Amino acid sequence: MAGPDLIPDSEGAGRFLPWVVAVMVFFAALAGAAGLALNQATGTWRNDLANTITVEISPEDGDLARVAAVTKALGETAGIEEVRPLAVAEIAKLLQPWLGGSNLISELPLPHLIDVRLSPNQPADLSLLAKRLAAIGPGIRIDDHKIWLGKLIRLSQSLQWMMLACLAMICFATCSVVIFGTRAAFAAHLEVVKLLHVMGARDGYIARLFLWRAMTMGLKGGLIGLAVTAVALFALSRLAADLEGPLFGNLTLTPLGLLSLATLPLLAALLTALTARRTVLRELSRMP
Amino acid sequence: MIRFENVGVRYGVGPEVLRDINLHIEPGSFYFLTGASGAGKSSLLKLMYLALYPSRGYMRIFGEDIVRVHRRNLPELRRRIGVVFQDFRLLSHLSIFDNVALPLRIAGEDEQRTRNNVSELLDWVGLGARLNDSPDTLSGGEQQRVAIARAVISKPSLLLADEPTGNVDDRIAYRLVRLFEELHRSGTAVVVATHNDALVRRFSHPILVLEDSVLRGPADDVYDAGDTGKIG
Repeated sequence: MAGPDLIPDSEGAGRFLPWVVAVMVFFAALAGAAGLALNQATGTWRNDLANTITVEISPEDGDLARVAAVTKALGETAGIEEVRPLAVAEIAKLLQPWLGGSNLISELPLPHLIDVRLSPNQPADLSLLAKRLAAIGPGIRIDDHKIWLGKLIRLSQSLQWMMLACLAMICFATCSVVIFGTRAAFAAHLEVVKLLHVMGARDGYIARLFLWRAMTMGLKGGLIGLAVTAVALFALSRLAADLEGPLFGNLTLTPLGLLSLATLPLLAALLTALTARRTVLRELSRMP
Repeated sequence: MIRFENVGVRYGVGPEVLRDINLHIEPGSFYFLTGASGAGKSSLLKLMYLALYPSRGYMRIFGEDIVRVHRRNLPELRRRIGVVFQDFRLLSHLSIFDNVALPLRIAGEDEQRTRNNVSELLDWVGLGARLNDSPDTLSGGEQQRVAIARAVISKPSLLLADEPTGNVDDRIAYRLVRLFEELHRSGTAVVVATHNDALVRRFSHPILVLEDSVLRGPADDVYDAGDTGKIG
């Protein structure tokens, strides 16, 4: 359409819309970022632990001989790439978050741990390996992390579904606010609408006027929301960086994840525009 | 051009505001529509400019049965009708130029042609020097002329004026009707609703009279094409 804006946007009815969209985009971006970070972390945990097992040897008499025998047996097994017995100091470090750095750890009967990396192409048969290790002596156990990893992944996936549900609810709330705002704007400009209608304007022509208006406000709100999200994510990433640990270290966003968050203002503008258009078309359908 | 047979209109479940309207308006005709306030003049005009559906009866405009025509075809019919409202309905956030250009832009007319036509028409109504002013800066008579310019810019086949003389003095009212006559001479059918009987008597165009929601007058006279005699 050439010419001026037929629907002035100085009305109070529409002034709040960008701010509502900004809040919605902020929440959507946070939910999206959390979901994407969890998804990536789950993948990393799965990859990191899929090809590793830990052999645990309970502390008993003749430990060193048993550890040597187990290490030898593991080294001779096909499908194993690397065998690394953990030193007592390393085991103590693993327990440090729970027991602190006191001498208590050295006095405890700690099990011996052997990290084993399986061949990714042809990994060793774990049931056969378990039988072979059991033959060496009692108290030798294989931990393939499946139970722990399974629980962690289930928790992560549940959280991701919750994030998706949050996003759906945010979309629903945004649509509701846009419908309310568009109806208010439509009522505020009813005389203009009626005039255009009488002059022979098609419904699509009138709806487009509201569509562009809503799209502009949606984009404006989306950009504000994204800017606030960027600040919040930056602050969270600084806090997460201070946490040393195998779990939180993985909670980062890939460039693709960041790019998908950056598209949120466009999606918000699109959602706002299409909702406004549909609302106006419904209102116009009641006119002759 | 317009044919109404036994047309009735009611709003909601209220009484009929128009009853048994029989009317035939031929292309190039000129009618006054008179009646007391509340007689139904505006409702009858609304029917004619397709802002209202009849509750009953048969209504044909530009050869289309209005009750049966698909809603998506109505805008094309509306573009052939120019309307001058009593309260002008000029958009105060637009310039005079943009107000007059509105029907052409809605119809998707070329912007350069729109500029030329609007400038020419505003010159004709004596407001060529005020293209970029806001309608709010104009007097009542000037606003009326802008409203008329907007109604005729797309060269409508039918021009409907709802109490166009209601807000101006007798001298300007007379000149406005002369302006409508000029448009009528170019082939446009004109219906002017007014309750100014003195003004109507100064012209020799046929008169449609609405009384108590009914169109009075010898129906045959109203039906006669090109009838120039007074009715009622």
